Amino acid sequence: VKLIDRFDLSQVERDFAVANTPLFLLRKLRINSEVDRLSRSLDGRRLIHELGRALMRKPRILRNAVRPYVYLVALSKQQDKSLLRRAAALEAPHHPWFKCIADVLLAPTVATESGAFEFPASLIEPKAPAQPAPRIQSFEVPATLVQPQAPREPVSVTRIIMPWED
Amino acid sequence: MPRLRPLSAKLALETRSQSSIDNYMSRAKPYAGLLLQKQAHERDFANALHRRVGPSNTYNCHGLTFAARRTAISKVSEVIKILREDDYTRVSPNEARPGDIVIYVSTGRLPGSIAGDVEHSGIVVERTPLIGGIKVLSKWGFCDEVVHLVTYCPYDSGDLRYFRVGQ
Repeated sequence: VKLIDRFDLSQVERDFAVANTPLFLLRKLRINSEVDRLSRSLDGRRLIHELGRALMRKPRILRNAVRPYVYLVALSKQQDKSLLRRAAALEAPHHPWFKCIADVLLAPTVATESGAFEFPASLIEPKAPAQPAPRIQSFEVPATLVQPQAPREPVSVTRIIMPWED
Repeated sequence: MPRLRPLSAKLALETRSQSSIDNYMSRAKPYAGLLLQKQAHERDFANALHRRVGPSNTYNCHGLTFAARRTAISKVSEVIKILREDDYTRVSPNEARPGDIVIYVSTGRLPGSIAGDVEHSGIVVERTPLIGGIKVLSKWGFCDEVVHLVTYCPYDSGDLRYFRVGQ
């Protein structure tokens, strides 16, 4: 029995099957209890070893397609971030979202005064002033995609710099 | 002589302003197991119409909405670029009509989520008398194309934004 088969990844497979974007998949992996269990059950070196093996194989079945992402997010839940940096440097020829997810996991987290991401003003219809946003732990997409916003009620959110934000 | 077709490629896709659109087209056979997922959707979302196409790795929802099913577009930056440079204007849900498009913007309020990701999109195909009764055609990831009520799907529908393409 392979190590990974001790974990029930059926929900991850369901989520991967409908994922249109890497960030959707990341959201689902972050809240998956089996990914949590994997992170607690294996030490980082073992996870990196399994990750390296999984990345080399060209996936033909859904289970193999999701494995590298599972290992990566499990690794991100561990204390030692140096292993996550090592993981992010691995080649991923068959998993096109791997680099993007790794970059997001490694991105610096900074406090920001702005609220959630907004579209360019030209794409927003005039609206009544929004209610102050609740205090949420959240992340934000690139500032480069956002035009200057009118001052708003300050909210406390956490923001990460996205990989495509140069 | 028949032309060789690559198994995967980045297509030369541009906006109306001739900006390159990052995309990834794969003609690889869908992963084994996706057909079971598609069948599960047909059970779990029995009130939707599941088209007899897919699974397919070739295009995703944004590829259906913005690229005529030719390729997959996965980055939010590319979706925003298309909306801006193809002259889309936002319309209210009450104004949305067949042919308009809807994008599902992540609110960041769900656990683990990242606010602002455009995690799904679709094309409005029908208005129904029901409250919130807008039906869309969309592609669910690597699986099938579905005609569904706008909130009847596995995506964060807390922030739906409708757009109409400029002429």
